[in-house]
Amino acid sequence: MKIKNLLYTAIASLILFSSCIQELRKDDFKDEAISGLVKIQLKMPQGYEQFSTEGMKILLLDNTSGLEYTVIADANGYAEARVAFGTYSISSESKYTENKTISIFNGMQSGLRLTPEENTANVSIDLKYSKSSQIIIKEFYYGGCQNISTGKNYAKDVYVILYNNSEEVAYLDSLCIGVAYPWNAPTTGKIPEFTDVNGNLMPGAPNSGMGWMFDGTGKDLPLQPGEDAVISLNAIDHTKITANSVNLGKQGYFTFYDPVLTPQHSTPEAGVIPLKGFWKTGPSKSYVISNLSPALFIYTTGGRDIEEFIAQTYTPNPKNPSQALSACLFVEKDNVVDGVECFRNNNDTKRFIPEIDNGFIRTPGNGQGYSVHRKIDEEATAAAGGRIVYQDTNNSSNDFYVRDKASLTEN
Amino acid sequence: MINIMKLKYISIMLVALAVLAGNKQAMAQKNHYSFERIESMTPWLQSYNAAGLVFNVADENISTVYGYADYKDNGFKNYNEAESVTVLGLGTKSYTRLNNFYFYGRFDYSYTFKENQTWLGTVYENGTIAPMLENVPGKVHNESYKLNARIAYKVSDKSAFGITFDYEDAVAAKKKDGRNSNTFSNLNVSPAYTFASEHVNVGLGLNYQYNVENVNYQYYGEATGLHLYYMDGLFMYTSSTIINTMIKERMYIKNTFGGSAQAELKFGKFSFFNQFTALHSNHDLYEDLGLKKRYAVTEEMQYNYNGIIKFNGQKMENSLHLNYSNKESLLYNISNVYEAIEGENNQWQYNEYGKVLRYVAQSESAGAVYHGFIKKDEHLQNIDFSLGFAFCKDTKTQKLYPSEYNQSIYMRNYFANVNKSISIKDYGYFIIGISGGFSDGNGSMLVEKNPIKSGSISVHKDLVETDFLYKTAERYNIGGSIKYSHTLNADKGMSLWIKADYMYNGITMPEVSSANTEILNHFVEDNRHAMKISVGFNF
Repeated sequence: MKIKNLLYTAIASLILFSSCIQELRKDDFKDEAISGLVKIQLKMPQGYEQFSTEGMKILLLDNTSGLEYTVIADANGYAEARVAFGTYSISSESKYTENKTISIFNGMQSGLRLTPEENTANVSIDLKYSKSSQIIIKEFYYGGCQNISTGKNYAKDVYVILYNNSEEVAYLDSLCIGVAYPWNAPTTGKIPEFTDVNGNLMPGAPNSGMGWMFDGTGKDLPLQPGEDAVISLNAIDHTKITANSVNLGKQGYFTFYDPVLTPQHSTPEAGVIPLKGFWKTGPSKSYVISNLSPALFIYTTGGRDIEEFIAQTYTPNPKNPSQALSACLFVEKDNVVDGVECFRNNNDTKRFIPEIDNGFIRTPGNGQGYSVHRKIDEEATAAAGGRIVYQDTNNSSNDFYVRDKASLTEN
Repeated sequence: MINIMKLKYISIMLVALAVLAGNKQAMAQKNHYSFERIESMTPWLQSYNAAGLVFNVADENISTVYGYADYKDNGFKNYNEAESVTVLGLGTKSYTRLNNFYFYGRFDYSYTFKENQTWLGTVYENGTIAPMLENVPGKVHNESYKLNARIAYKVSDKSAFGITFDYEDAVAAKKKDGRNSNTFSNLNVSPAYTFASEHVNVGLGLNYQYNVENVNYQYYGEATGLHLYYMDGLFMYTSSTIINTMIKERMYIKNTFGGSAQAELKFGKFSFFNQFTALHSNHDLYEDLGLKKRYAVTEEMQYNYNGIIKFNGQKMENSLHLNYSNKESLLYNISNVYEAIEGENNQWQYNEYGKVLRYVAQSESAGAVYHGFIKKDEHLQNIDFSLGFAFCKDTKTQKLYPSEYNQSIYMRNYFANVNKSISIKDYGYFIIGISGGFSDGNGSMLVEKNPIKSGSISVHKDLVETDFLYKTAERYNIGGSIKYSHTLNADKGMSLWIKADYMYNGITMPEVSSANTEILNHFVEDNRHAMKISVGFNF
């Protein structure tokens, strides 16, 4: 009898205690406990209120986990999103074509925090106006490839392709190209150094390391509609070093080369046109473009000559003003023509303001031959009678895709 | 007239002879001692209660020193098992009594070589449910030292106190990029008390465990395209590309509090031993060795029941072993924000803003084993045999708003073995054994609800499938063992033994698409082998 009672008590206890802790914590697993609510208000810029916010997609991106949520704004620019906890960048853009002018509205707010202790947030995004560019960045190959014979990473074959995306002749004369500071995108929630006291990115782009310009008097370097301009770090035939690389030593290509500023670069092949190096900071003997997460942009001097441009844009690093290496030429946003922000991880922090690039593009890794390439705008291409028109919403998340092999390897 | 002194001497002689005869008999039986049998005769010896040492029915102290070599060749394996594992070990073990003090001690050293190990970021499998991992097959070397000590003091015929100290130190190192270096240590302290009466023995024990594991991934080579994976729960993961300047670290710290209760009923040859155990753990997971950022915490609750119903007849001992275990694990993700420290110039730190439940798992198992021991003497079987089964149910739920993933697995295991001893006069004896078993399972691999079509954290479907196929596949095993124990000194109970074990495992290969090399790499052959040879000296 005693044994039976003991056994029954034991069985009852086991039944009672199984799933005990799950029951105690079941409220922790409800949707309301594992998510937060974001209320978003989009506002068109002053003077452009006639453009509607209805139907505008709003993207919420968790910078830590890579989670993405999309909601649609109503005619009043309002939308609500229930999302997992995290730190979010919220962005939106739209494009309108009127009388051959493409108007782009985009805006972003980063660093929105949703935690179990702060589970609701109100966000207001002031959309910025910008125009689609005539000359755009078409492809950026920065990660290098694998040297077949050594098995090691080969990263000397970096190149950029610019493209005339319009129906009129463009001129490369005095167009400048650079990479933003810091050379690699900040990680783990850190913010870039060229920010204001509130932690917001300053209105422009910090050109770091060296300043490069297409050298011409005004109409020396035409770029026809649908034509490419290839600029490389080392203008040689890299396929002689490893077959899976590219030939960048072709006549008519351009290169970041100056015998004084970049003596460590390969001497360009005959027929390659060197860009003009007009500014440099730091002791480096080569031009540094990150293999991991560069932010590339093209810009103008705004009609100023080089000395005046340097004098007016030279900016010490706000966090390290005494360190010359981290100073930059801070290019005003109206002088930035186009930019593409490349990340290594989804949780990297942006260096470009929304007007330059409202998103980012990420390759799976360096040393594998990947490049980032602009998507074709099928509708605009058809309207242009077959001339390829690339997508340009000033958001590389939408405008770019990752190629398994750089396009010039197919030549 | 009877000489009183002579009578005294004769009485003393008779008593001495009786004691000597008893001792000799006891020593003769000590030549047949094995630790397995001693622990089987007294269930308290394998309980959580160190004070239970006082119930040890073995008449003599016993100690052993041993060495072993163990080799496993895994033609089929789970995602985190190596292709082959070789273990070399040395150890010593002892049950000793000194007046009212009872001691148990064990020291074990082992060195392990693993070939083509993947997806293991901790020294031992399932060390944490939110590990950092990588998938490049490589050699792993492990080294471990384990020390187990129990002391009991018999206060009176009714009461005894005891305490357990367990300590383990282990290291593991992978020899190929991304190479991880792990150090692990575990400390367990458990004070206990027993109370004995004619028909009932009861015991209570408390338990505290602390274990910590450091992980450090480094990368020396030039190869590209390698990744580190940050996984949790049901194989949900993010990843980052490995570069040769990267160092990635983790620290896992676990605190466990618990207790146990024992009750043994004894009525003549019948006994019924019961043990209930409850353990609660908190496992803090940090992203660095400086404890600056706690990225997750796991809460675990485990209940166990073990019961042994025994009838110890003169010629045969029958016992029925019952067990039930229930373990719940909850994984919380910590919301960290990297913020500037107020008042400090350019100094940043991670601050926690709450935790979010991400994953819940429950594992229940129950089983029974019938064991028959036909005696040659109390310690050596003529024949012994076991017949048993075990059922296990695992359920897992992973949630990351708005997605939800569920998995359930049911496993069944049936097994039997028989051992026969053959004595070789007074020199020693052989024990020859055969065993066999069958297991299978079923369940629901992954029920997915994920309305987000792009950009969400991924579930590693290949690992989910490999793990599910491995656990639910039909498997059988058949094996044998042979042990020879040679008596070196019968009077002192010293013997030398050598044992060889072999186990063959077969599987009904699951159907896997030929394009899925990740899964196929874990089901290369339909068999695996395990063999072990060990030598020891008992005294």
